[in-house]
Amino acid sequence: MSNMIEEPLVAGADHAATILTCVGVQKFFGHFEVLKGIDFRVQRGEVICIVGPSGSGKSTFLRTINGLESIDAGHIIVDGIGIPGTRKDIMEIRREVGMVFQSFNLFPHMKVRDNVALAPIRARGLSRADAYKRAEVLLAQVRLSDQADKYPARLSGGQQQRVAIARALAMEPKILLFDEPTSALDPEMVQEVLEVMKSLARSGITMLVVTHEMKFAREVADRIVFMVDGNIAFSGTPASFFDNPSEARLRSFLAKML
Amino acid sequence: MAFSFRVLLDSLPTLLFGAITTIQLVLLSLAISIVLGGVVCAGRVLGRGLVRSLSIAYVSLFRTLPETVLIFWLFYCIPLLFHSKPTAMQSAIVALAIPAGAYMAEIFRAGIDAIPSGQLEAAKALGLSPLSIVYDIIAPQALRTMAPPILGLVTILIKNSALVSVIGVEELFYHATVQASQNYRYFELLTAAALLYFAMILPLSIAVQWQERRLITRSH
Repeated sequence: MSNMIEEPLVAGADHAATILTCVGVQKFFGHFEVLKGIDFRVQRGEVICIVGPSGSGKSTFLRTINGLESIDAGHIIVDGIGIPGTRKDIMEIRREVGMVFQSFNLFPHMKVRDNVALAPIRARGLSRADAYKRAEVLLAQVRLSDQADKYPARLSGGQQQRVAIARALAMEPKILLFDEPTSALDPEMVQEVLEVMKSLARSGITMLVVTHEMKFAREVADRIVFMVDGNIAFSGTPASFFDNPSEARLRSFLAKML
Repeated sequence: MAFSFRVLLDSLPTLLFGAITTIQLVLLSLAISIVLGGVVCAGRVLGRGLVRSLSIAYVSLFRTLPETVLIFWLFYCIPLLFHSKPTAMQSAIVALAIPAGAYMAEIFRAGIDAIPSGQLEAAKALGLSPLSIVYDIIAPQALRTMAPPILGLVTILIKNSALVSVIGVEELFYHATVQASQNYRYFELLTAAALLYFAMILPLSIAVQWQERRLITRSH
């Protein structure tokens, strides 16, 4: 990883506040250009909602940040570690970046508390006792203490997603990525997951949320990023996004979503 | 000639002795087939180019070859190719293990394929090491789906082991036929052999059912 970054983020007070930098991130699926050179920067503690029509590259972009998707050009720096990088670098990034998936992806052969405690034991070297203590606290935080000894299949979708959030938090990540966390849920379960996410947002953790929940985005986000065709078409406050949509594409998107 | 339980009981010690050889034969060829299957499956899943092609060729070749042909071929042709002459037992173990390895490779591959890609993504996203991903996430889930087909394969191995009596391995079926040809008690001896094969296979299926339940309810 060369340090040939043109921007002044390498030094100074600005660097301390920046936790994620993406420069010219490009991604192809075959001949199709999914991400067309994305420049993006996130400050510590920012809560960002990434919205946009389906197929605009939101999820793909999110997945490049923890290396689940490789990138074809440009680079990403997460808290000082660069992508592209060695396998070790990427593993290190993944330990600092938590992810919550649309389809939960809990480990079905492990009880809820084991799901939460596994990564701290294996990837952080925590003792079993400490890891299970931490799991206990996190499950209480997502209000699932009473489900700790069940297998994921016995839980509702909303409960499973809250376990998945606890599992991601157990690594004490510096950034938390949410990839459409409520899209696979029955409508009556969406709220319980959003409530957990809201209290997380207030706790000061850096969050990047790909979502179609406009009400949530407006209420919780510090910044809205609007993606179209593999580009960031807008990046600004919720107020400027929702109240004075400047661009035609943005207006037509909001007209469909609201 | 009436069926005589007396004859059946008298033949049991010899047949049991043969059954022990059968079990040795099965266990050794099973162990080899697991190693072969693991290597071939890895070659197919992870390998590129020649390694991958060879792995695929191995599976398609040995799944189509009749076991009897392989048993005879190894026993009679290996001494012609090399200077050493393996014993009938050694030759039989390898002859049973080679095709079983091909089936085992496919069982491993199917077991790994059956794991949803989201499992791997979630494990990676947590920063787990490749070793931990295999040990904590893939293996426990794959084993659960692989247990029934592996049981099926062990059953087939036990049944195929009777074939190696043709090259003179003194296993269960060999003793049954040799004794019967001496006292003409085919009825009793072949029935006894059949019952012993059944007795070997039955506990296996019970064990696997128990194992499946244990895997499902097991806490990590």
